[in-house]
Order: sequence, then C-alpha cells, then structure tokens
Amino acid sequence: MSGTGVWTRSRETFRRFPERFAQCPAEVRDQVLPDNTASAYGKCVVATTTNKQELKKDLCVKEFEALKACFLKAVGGDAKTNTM
Amino acid sequence: MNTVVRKSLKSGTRVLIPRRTGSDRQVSWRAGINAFDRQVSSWGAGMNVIDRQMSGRAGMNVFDRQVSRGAGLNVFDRQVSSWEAGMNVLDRQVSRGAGLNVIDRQMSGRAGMNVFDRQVSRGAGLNVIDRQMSGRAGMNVFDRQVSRGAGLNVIDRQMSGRAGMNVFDRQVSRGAGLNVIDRQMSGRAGMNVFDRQMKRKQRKWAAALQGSHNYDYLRDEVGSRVADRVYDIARTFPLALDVGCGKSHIAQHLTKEVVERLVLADTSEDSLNQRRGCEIPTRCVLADEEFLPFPENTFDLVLSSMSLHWINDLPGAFKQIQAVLKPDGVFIGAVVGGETLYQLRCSLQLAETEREGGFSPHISPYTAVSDLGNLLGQAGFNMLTVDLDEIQVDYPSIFEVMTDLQGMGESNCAWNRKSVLHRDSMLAAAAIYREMYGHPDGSVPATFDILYMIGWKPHESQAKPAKRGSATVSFSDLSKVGHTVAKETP
Repeated sequence: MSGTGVWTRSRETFRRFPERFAQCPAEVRDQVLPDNTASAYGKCVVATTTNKQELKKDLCVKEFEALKACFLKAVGGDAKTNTM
Repeated sequence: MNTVVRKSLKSGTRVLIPRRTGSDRQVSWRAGINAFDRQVSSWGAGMNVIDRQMSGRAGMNVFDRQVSRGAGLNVFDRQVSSWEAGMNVLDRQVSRGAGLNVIDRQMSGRAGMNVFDRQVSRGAGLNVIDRQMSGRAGMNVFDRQVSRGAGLNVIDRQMSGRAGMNVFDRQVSRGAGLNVIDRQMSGRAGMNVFDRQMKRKQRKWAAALQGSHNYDYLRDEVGSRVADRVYDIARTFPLALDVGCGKSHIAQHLTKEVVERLVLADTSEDSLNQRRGCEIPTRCVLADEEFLPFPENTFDLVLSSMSLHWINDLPGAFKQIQAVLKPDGVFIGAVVGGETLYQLRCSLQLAETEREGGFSPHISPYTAVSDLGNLLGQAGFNMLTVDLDEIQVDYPSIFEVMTDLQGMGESNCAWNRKSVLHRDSMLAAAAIYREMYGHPDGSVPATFDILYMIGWKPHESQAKPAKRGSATVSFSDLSKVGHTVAKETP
C-alpha cells in the first residue's frame, strides 16, 4: 500500500497544477495562440454535446495527448516517465 | 500432550511442562493444517491458524494470542482475507462456536464475513465488524460487547441501508434475530446516502486547516442573508437554536434585541471552538442534525445554514425541528440545492467519459426547490416561504474550485462516491470547464444555488384559509377596479 508521505507529496503536486495548467493557454479574448492546447481539447469534447456524435472513450485522444505534453513540459517533466 | 519432567535446580521438585503439539511459529506442512504462535490450538478438526499472515485459501484461519476452539473457526490478526467465504478473523479473544467469523478492523465485502474486536463472540452465525461496514446483507458489526445468540447483527456506529442490517453499540444483544439500532437509523430503505462518519472527519479536517478562515466566504455570505430574514420578522426570540452552525456564521450578524439566548449545535467540535464572537449569550452543544437532543416545544426560532444538504433523512430532520419548536415558532433555513456546481459536475462527467469511458458521481445529490416545499409541508410547517438565490463565485480554474470546496468541509461523502479522481481526468475537466463556462479573462464561474426556507409551527393565531361562503366581495368586481364611477347626485 502507500508509504508515508504520499498524501502530503501528492497534495504538493496538486497545488502546482493550476500554474502548470495556466501555461497551456486557451484562447485569450480573440487571440488564437499557436499553442492553445486546452482550447483545442475542450472544443473537441464540447462539440459532442451539440452534434449527434456520442462521447466515447478516447474520442479526443490526440488533442488530450497534446494538452498533457504541454502540461508536463510546463515543469520540465518527461512525458515518457509521466511525472505529473 | 507429552509432558516432560525436569528437575528444578534449586529445590529438586518435579516440574511438569506441557509440550505443545505442532511447531511453534511455523506453519504446518499440509493443506488444512495449522500453525500457531504462542497458544495451543489443538482441539477440533479444521482449525487453521497463521500468525499475522493471511491466506486466501478457504479453510485457512489465523489467530493471535488466543486459543480458538471449535470447528470451523477462522481467525486473522489484523489482516483480512476477503476472497473466500468462511474466512474469519479474531483478535485477542477466543471465538467459540461454529461459524464465527471475525475480522479485526478490516472489512470484507463478502457475505459470511464477520468481524469483532475485543470480545468473545459466542453462538453460531454471529457476524461482527469493528467500525467498518459492509454493505452486503448478512454482515454485522459490533464493538466491545459480546453478542450472544444466533442471527444477531450489530454494527457499531455505522449504518447500512440494507435490509437485515442492524446496529447497536455497547450492549449485549441476546436472543436470536434481534436487531438493535443505536444512534443511527436504518429506518427507511434508501435513506442512507451519506457517510456521516466521513462528513464528521472532513469537517474536523477542514476546521484544523491553517488558513481555514479563507474558505468561509460562502458561509459568511449565506449566514448574513439568513440573518436578514430573521430581522424581517418583527419579533424578539427568547431562545433560538442554530443547527449545523459550523463556526456560527449567522449569530455574528444578530443582536440581543432579536435573539436573547442562542444554542449552537454542530457535529464538529473544532468548528465550535473557532466560532465567531457575537453579543448574544450562547451555549454550544455537540449534536448531530438528525438526532437533536432537545425536548419538544423548546425553541422560538430554529436556524440552519448550509448544513442540511448532508443529511440522510431530511424528512425526519424537518420533523425533529418542527417538534423542538414552540407553537408559533419559526424555522429559517438555508440549504444548498437545485443546480449548485452544475459546471463542475458537467465538466467532470464529460472528462471522465472521454478519458475513462464512464463516469461516476462526484457531486452529492441536492434537493430541488419544489421538493423542499413538499418536505416542509409534510413535516407540519405552516405558511411556507421558499426562495432561490444564486451566488456565482469566480475561480482561476477547476483546481481552485475543488480546493476551496475541500477547505470548506464540503467534500463529497456520499457512499457511492468514487475514491479516485485520476489526474488525466482532472486535466481534461479543467480544459472542458474553461471551454464550456470560462470567462474571457480565463477565470471560471461556480454557481451555488441557495434555497432559503421559512416555515412556522402551527398556532391558533396564524391566519387560516377563509371559510367557504364567507366572501363579501365578488370576483366580478375586480374588473371595475380603476374605473371612475359617476356619482348620481340625487
């Protein structure tokens, strides 16, 4: 099972999530930034709520991978080792 | 048993030392054979004992420190085996009788697994779990006392909403088929949505946080609005009760002219210790909202702010509030309801569907406006007023929403909650939340629908519907309102 300190460590990691997420910007005002990964993923998922397509697992996996890569890059973590 | 005679060095008297059968601390070599530590287990066939180690196999049993007698007894010390029926645990005490299953502190979700701690469980078919509950039928719990007789199911402090599960605490239950409930109600099926123990722990944790006052903004706001409604009633209340008061957010806005004495009731001692100062003399009571320890017809005013949405039996709680009120007393409450946090709920739902293929509820269920009116009416309140207030709070992202909810002590404690929220799903939900509901500057809103309710305990002085046939004006006269009537001068 979990060892000691896991809870505090995971909470520390979680505390840094917002700033890391902010580095993967969505569309700001009307500017379309080149790296608007969050927006691309969001748009992909939201599109299923309006059109007839049903939301299935991994429907927007490409956009999510891009978002996750950006998120991990924000702190210099390696996408391969999945250190979030 | 073989005995060994040994000469004592000093006095030369004979000393008889019984030698144990079986190896000490070693597990026996064949299946269904036994190992033991410290105590002899040599009676009865089919007794298997392992010290501290667990076996997942059927018929393997563990005990520590005590002899286990009788056939079919399985005991574990602190470890649970849950995949075989008939695995039982016991700690410290002898378990006698056949078919006794005991697990110390750990629960198994399987039928036929029983737990007890500290006491002997006698009789067949006794299932006891110490402090932990299993939602399955046939699982029973007790703590501290012997349960005698067959078919007794007891749960210490925890409730199972399932039929056939019974609770008691501290007392021996004798006789077959006795189901006793202590402290917790297993009154109606399906009325156990929230884990109240967990909610107590969450409130305690939130109150102990370093910057816990930072999360009080919502409660303070709602408390001030409830206090507004108290001022709207032009009366002085000699004795008032605040149910689920938290840090007493309402009383800080009230004055001695409106409320003369106040009783604060909450389940969290730490919150009461950190209560806000107010000029009204107060008394604090540690009480659960579902089990108010006050006599009937005591209070002129009962207040409640943002705590009733974690109650399992809301109709029962309303009835109790109505009972403790004096006739012509009033209940003013604010509860979170309606479409609260719908943005968070939808984002998590979509994110989990896309990332994991399915979703589970992360937001607790709320009462709708219409239901609230019905509930109050059923509880016996008169002259109801229910209105809805929408408070929207903006946050930088979904992570702040979740952190603040946790800091407020509003973490989910429903039984059906999933204990894990994957990081991928969190990241996905953050993106979806921003995309669906985000403001142009990147911040996201979270909506809290607060339902305010006012209900009066019936009294003769209150206005009643008029009797049939007592009208003095006709409805057709309504059309004449606004017309100038020409007076005929005689």
